[in-house]
Amino acid sequence: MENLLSIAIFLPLLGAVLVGIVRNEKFSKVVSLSLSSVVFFIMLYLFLNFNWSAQGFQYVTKLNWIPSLGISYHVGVDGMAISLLLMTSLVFVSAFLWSLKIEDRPNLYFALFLALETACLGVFSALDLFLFYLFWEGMLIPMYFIIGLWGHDRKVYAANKFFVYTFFGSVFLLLGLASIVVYGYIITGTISFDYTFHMAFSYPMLLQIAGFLLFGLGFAVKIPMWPVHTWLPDAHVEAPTAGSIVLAAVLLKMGTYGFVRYSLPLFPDASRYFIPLIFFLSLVAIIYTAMMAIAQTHIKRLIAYSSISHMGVVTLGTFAMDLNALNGAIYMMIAHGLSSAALFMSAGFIYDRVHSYHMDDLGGLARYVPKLAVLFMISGLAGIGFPGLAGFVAEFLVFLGTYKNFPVWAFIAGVGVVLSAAYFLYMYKRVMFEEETLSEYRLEKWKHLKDLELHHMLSFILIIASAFIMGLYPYPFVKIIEHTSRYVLGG
Amino acid sequence: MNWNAVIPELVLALGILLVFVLDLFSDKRHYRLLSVISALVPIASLISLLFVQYPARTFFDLFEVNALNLLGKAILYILTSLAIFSMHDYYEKKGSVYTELSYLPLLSTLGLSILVSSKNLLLLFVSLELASIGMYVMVSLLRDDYLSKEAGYKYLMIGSVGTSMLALGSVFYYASTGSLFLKEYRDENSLFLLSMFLLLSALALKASAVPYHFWTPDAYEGAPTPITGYLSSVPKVALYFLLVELLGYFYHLKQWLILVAVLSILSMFYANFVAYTQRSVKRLMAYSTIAHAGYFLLGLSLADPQLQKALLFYVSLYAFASLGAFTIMSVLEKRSGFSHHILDYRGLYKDHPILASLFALFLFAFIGIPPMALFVGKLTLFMGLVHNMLLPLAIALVLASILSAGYYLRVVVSLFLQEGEKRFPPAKVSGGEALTLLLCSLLVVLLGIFPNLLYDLIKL
Repeated sequence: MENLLSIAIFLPLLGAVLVGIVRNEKFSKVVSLSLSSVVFFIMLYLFLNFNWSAQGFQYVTKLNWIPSLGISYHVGVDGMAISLLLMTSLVFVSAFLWSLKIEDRPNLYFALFLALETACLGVFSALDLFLFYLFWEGMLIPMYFIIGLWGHDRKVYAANKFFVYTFFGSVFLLLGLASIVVYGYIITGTISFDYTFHMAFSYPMLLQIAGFLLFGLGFAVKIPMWPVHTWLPDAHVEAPTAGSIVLAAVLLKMGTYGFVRYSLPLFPDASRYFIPLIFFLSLVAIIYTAMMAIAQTHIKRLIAYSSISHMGVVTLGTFAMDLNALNGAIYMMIAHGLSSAALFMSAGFIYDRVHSYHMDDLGGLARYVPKLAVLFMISGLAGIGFPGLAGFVAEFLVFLGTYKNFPVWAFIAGVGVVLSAAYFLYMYKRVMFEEETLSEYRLEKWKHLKDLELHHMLSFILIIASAFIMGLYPYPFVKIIEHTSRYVLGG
Repeated sequence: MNWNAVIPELVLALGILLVFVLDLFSDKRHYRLLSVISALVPIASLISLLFVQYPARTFFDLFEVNALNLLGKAILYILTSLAIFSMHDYYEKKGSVYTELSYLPLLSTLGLSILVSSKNLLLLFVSLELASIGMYVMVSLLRDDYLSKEAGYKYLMIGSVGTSMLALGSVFYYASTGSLFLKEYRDENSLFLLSMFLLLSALALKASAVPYHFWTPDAYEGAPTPITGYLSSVPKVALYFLLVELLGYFYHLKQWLILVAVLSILSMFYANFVAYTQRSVKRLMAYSTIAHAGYFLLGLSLADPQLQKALLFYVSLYAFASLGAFTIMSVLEKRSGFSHHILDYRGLYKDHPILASLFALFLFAFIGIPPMALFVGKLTLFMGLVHNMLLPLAIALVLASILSAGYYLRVVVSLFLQEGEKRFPPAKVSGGEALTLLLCSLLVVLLGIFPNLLYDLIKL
């Protein structure tokens, strides 16, 4: 039983290999869906059995792997990791459900997604720097092909941009890893990539700053933070729906996860030193990208910009050096994972039916696809932090905590968040209402639109139900997340 | 005389003679058989490595075997055998059968094998020449192909510049130390410095580092593709094993670090920029080799076991990946009408999913994506550089590898994401090529996941 976590991590990879060998469409779908559900239930089991009052990592497996380089296979979870793992496995189930009707090269598609799932789960549970980097980069190739093969018109451009940006960040991350490992080697004489080994040090300020910048560059590209965010709108616009779902819900969280897991505990003094910089970048992200979102007419691009804006709230909360704010930031990762997944599903569904993402081509859909209209509204409200849904708890905690230490920053950020309601409602109006602007031709076409099918409904419901649960009964989630926040802030 | 130390070379030499004699009495129909026999010769040498007692010296201390250069020889033999296995079908399909090609690679490998063991500049010179002459001939041997003659000529001319630099360097070494034996020599006089400069330049030329790289793109592009695969793998491994040995005699000169750093930074950035302008994938791969020469030279910047272990691990795995990549290119080239223009690679995934995936695997390995083994090479190189406080060099490596991602991706894009316009007959993979591809890709992935299998064998 103690290897349950490892089994859950590698089960999808095994599935990918099977799918690659068998190459049968039906088999691929059944295997992907069932394996991802099994993984979800394992994660749920681990989540429910997680002891939030105990200290340290749980469900730990540690095996010697490459002894001469001090690398071990070391996985384990804390409160943040298990919550993110649960969200990740849920989102993958949804993504597979969503893709059941895919026709273009289905075997390769499902194999890549399964491989991607292993990489994502691995990132959140690795406790060895080498293993972490392995999974971190392991996600690059499947995602590259998912965007490049199943994307829309400018898929090659978007895939390349995604790859080069992410690779740019991760090579610096690699250099950062190498630096702290070498420092540990110089100090203690043993070479080790182990996370807990490095947690025991306090590094000199210069190394902290260098390490923070190197790690931070890697994470910032992935989040993405403001000046390095430009790959995200392109990647989202071109990616297929399930690709967007995973990209927004899981991949973006890797960066913020990295900040909480590595930057804050390993470089605490440098983190404090860089607070103004991070806050500035976060505020720019919150306000500037929200304004960018208002200016979009492409719905996926709009949702992509809204993601960047929300990730700004996460980085703000992460570096506010306050328990509530950090809780809120981690809560936001999960809440945003759910809401962005649902939003991209809505956008993807609209494209499936109407073959356009442009607001000019849409309008008045509410009457013809009412179920979608309802679910789209709920997803949007979850995103903008409507009370009763997960996003509200997250934003509330972040602003509560940030306000205590940094009232001015928190105030400006709070104003920025109002913009999120503006862009979402604007998009909703243009897509779902404004029936009077429709041409005769469109009205005729809209009349034959089919509403959500069963598998669409199921994947929507999984996500939205979770958003409701997290919004209405946040206590256990906050408690579990606090398990991480407490030790990260040294409390 | 201790003959035990040279058993592998003796086996190799006997094998060459055997194939040579067989070649005299057979004609072109037997080319395939001959090449299979010659591919088995390095395997025999590989097995004979087990009987060598080390460390030992022989031939009046000219020749030394130790754990490190035996490992180097083992890698050389495996690579040579795989390279020969992947050759014969190409020549048959191209209608350019020269039976000499069955033993020429062995001759070069014999030279390289002696090279990594030599403790004396004279032997070093002779063995490097033995290796080079074989390669000059191999590059030019393609019937009715003007480019390969031009490539061979260019390679010969520029290679002889390297040879003369090596000779001159040896002379200055003799002048300053009074001997051609490589030994600890702590005196820093200008003659010694000059000899170091010339020797390093000569070897950098063979390793195709900028500014001595001029032969590389032309020779790589013009040579028959399996030979390009040989050129980009076997001699590189031997050279870096030799350079690691030489480092022990020269690193105390403060100019060494500067020279190596300049060479490597020039190579990394020049090659990675110029590669973007290439339209031929074969030529692009040549620039990739030059860029990698830059990465590898970083591992020679200081004498530090960690750094050199990283370098040797990296270069060995690079050799396998490179051989694999060129084997795929030679498989594709067997189809009539195929040039190595990037347009010809378009849509390969549709017709040959396995070949395209393997090619992508090697390309991603060159970029340095885990779990491919080249990533571990890059990581350990980073660690070595950071450990020696060579942060600027580490940053340069970071920037260069980011820069390189773009042109490899361009090939991946044309393989997978674009539709081909030209139609080619289906490519057939011969048994030998399949073996080479299988082993290269397996090693590249397996040693990426369990790098200690090789890493622990590198004993400095």
